[in-house]
Amino acid sequence: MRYRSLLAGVLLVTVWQSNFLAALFVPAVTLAQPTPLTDAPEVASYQMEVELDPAAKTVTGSERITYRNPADDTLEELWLRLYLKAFSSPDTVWMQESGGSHRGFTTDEESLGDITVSALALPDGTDLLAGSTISGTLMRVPLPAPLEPDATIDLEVEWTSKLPRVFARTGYGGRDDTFFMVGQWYPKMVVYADGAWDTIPWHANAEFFHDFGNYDVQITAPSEYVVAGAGVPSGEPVEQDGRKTVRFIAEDVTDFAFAASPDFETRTAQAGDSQVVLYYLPEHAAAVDTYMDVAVGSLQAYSDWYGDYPHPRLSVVDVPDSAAGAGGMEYPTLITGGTLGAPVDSGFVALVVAHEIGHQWWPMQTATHEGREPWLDEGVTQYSGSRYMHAAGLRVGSGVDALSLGAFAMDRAAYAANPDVPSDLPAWEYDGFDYGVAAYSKPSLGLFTLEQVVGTERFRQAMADYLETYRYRHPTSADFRQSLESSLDTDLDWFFDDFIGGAGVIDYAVGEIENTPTGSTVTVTRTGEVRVPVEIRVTLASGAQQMRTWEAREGQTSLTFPPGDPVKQVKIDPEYKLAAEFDRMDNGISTTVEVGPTTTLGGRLLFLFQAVVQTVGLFG
Amino acid sequence: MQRLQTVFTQGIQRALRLRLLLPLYLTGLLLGLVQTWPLLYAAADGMLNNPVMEDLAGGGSDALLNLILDGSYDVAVVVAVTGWLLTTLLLTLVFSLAYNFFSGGILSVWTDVRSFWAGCRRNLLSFTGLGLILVILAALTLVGVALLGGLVGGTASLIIALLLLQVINLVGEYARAIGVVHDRRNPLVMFGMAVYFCRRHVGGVLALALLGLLLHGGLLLLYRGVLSGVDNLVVTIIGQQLFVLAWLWIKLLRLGWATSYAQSFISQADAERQTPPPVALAEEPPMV
Repeated sequence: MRYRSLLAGVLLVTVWQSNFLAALFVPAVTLAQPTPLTDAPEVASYQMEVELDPAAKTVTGSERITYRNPADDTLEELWLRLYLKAFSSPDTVWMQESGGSHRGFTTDEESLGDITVSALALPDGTDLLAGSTISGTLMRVPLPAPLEPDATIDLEVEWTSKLPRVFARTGYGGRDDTFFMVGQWYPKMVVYADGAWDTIPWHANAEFFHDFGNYDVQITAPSEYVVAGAGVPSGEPVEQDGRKTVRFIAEDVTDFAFAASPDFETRTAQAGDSQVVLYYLPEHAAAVDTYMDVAVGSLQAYSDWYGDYPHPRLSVVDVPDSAAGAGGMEYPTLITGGTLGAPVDSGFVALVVAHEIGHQWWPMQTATHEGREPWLDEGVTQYSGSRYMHAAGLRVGSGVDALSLGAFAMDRAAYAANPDVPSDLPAWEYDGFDYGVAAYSKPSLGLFTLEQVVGTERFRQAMADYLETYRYRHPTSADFRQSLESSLDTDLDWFFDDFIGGAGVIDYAVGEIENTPTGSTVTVTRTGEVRVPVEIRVTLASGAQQMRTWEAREGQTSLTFPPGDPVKQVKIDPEYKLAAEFDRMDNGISTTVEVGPTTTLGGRLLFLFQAVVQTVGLFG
Repeated sequence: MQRLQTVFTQGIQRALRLRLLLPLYLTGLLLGLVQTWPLLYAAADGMLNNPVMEDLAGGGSDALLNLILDGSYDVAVVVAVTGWLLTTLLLTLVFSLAYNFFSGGILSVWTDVRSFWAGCRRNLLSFTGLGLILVILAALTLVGVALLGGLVGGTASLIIALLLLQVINLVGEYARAIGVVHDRRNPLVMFGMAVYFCRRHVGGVLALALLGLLLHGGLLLLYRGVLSGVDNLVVTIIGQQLFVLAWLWIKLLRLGWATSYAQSFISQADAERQTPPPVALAEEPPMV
């Protein structure tokens, strides 16, 4: 009896200890994953009435901001973003860092921008403006009474935005300066998270970071103007005295933007449950089909891969070539494209549209900090756009395959020029070209590599899981990593630590084949720093093939084969799954000369040369 | 119209003298074989034993980029690619000289003016001078169009550039033909006469030029439609060489039309000037 009791006691303790130990060693992810949200938290919502004055290049307006304290802290003050102040003089942080240019477009010093808040008060009339202070693009607003956690406050704001001649996303241009792209244009709540306001100055390389909310925006413009707003039009336009007021409602979004032009024409199409509306300019009519095909196609593709596009409408705005600085930008439920004068079949429009629509997921649904972790939205979006182009067979350059490149090939070309930048730095710590590689091309190739290593279905499920878990939140790279590792049930240190967070590259090289009477040996070396698993295909003299996978934890491995059937050929990563591999030319070796490929290559060189000399040399 | 029909037929007949095509084709082939030297370079580097070569050989522009432009800054690759481009540029000049040389002979044989090799030698300098003029004009055109690009947009300026280059090319062809037909050796005079001729007979010149362009275009479409999808190595190489020959033949056809057209307007006076006067026989002394 005592023994049974003792045994029971031992068993009980053992079970308890096992549970305790198991609890300790269960991956932290299963304890930390937040509950998916079905609706966005309404932290910062806006009701606006604004008027566009095309002659003065201004937008004047009033708004009611309804702000709910999302934190556990009591707030003594609020902060607003006044982005247009970045363009108010050459001396701002933004202008100093950018040198007055953005993506190749330069500022017009005669037509700078600004934003002036003329009134800021509580609904009961309590003035908040007098006690506010402005520093750069930030306005500090001390509160007369603290704002408790989960409490709501309304702010009544009146302001005037002076739009610059467009060079960095927002402003005017086009025919007779009648095109307006109005983005980052209104006084906007700063995010309060992790115990602090996000009062980082707006840097030239950085984009945006905002809370979710609802927008109800009434825009008045001259009657001849077509207004392309984010969200969904509500009610009929109201016309009075030569001016027209249109209303747009956007729910569960982090921002609102609109465009206006008297020259816009429209085309609509359905993409699942959502409507796609293209606002295009007559001079780009030839690009309409491309715009629509890619907009609908990519919207549907991303919905299949990641999760449904959660809005009933998406606006696509075409921009004039002379205002191309407004193109290639994303806002919730609205993107800007543009052709930059490129031929319709150059693939440029497709590339831009596919990318910007990718942003409707990253970060428009995940609201990551685009300045602190730019790769988390730009890199994931760049991957999405390139992946869509790849799947759809769309290329960039010309209508001829030989004179064009695939989207991932373009990413590779950019990455190859500057492979030793880590991708996990804040945007402001990069210079211009480094930023493009670190935030866009490198993560894009890395994610494509990850997809091919783990398998497309598993990867897409993992991305869908991440979106479902973190939609309407503010995830970080750590959250992204936790989510992926949990979903894929694998350690992704090679991706997050070695590749994204490091300056190293993916690279492998094959050594000599040693065939001896006692067997064959082939050495494969990991010459790069990234420890990504790699497949190695070995072909034996009999024609038999073996595929081996090496985890690459160590720097080198030796593959051995029994005697009797010597090794004839070795090829590392034969299916080119490692999209970001640095040097592929040392990935293979054979015991014999590759006659067919050599002759093919010789024939191609000969033909290429003959084509060139007969085109140029027979001139006249 | 009848004149054009005669010119059309005569040009084809002239171009069908295919042996005349061979020297130029063989020059291009020989230079092209020389330009496969990167394979020797690759062989020395052990690359011909690399199965990755198969992907490079069979792939398109993406494969080229993915395999060559890898950022490793492999000096050998950079040297090979740069070297190939530079030698192609140089050998294009050599081929141009060959074109200037052999086209003189071809045109001379067509017009029965002199033998092939004599014609080659006689016209080499003048055709080379003409070529220089055309290159300068082409360069000026490209610069002008590039400056215009800001006003009319990229696509429009590209179309304008291509059209203007075609016009210069056309005038060059007529300049060669006129140089041989009228035995002119000053390239500026040849060019001037060609401009005058083309302006004067613009309808016929453009009609023949358009035909030539259509033939070239048709050949390109044929290549894209048929040959680009072929997997067989031997068929591909033979097909490519047939394409090269056909392209060259169309060029000679254009020259044939230009020569026939220029010749059809030659004046009686010119005809008499070109026909050597009969040699006067010495009078026989009267029989005593």
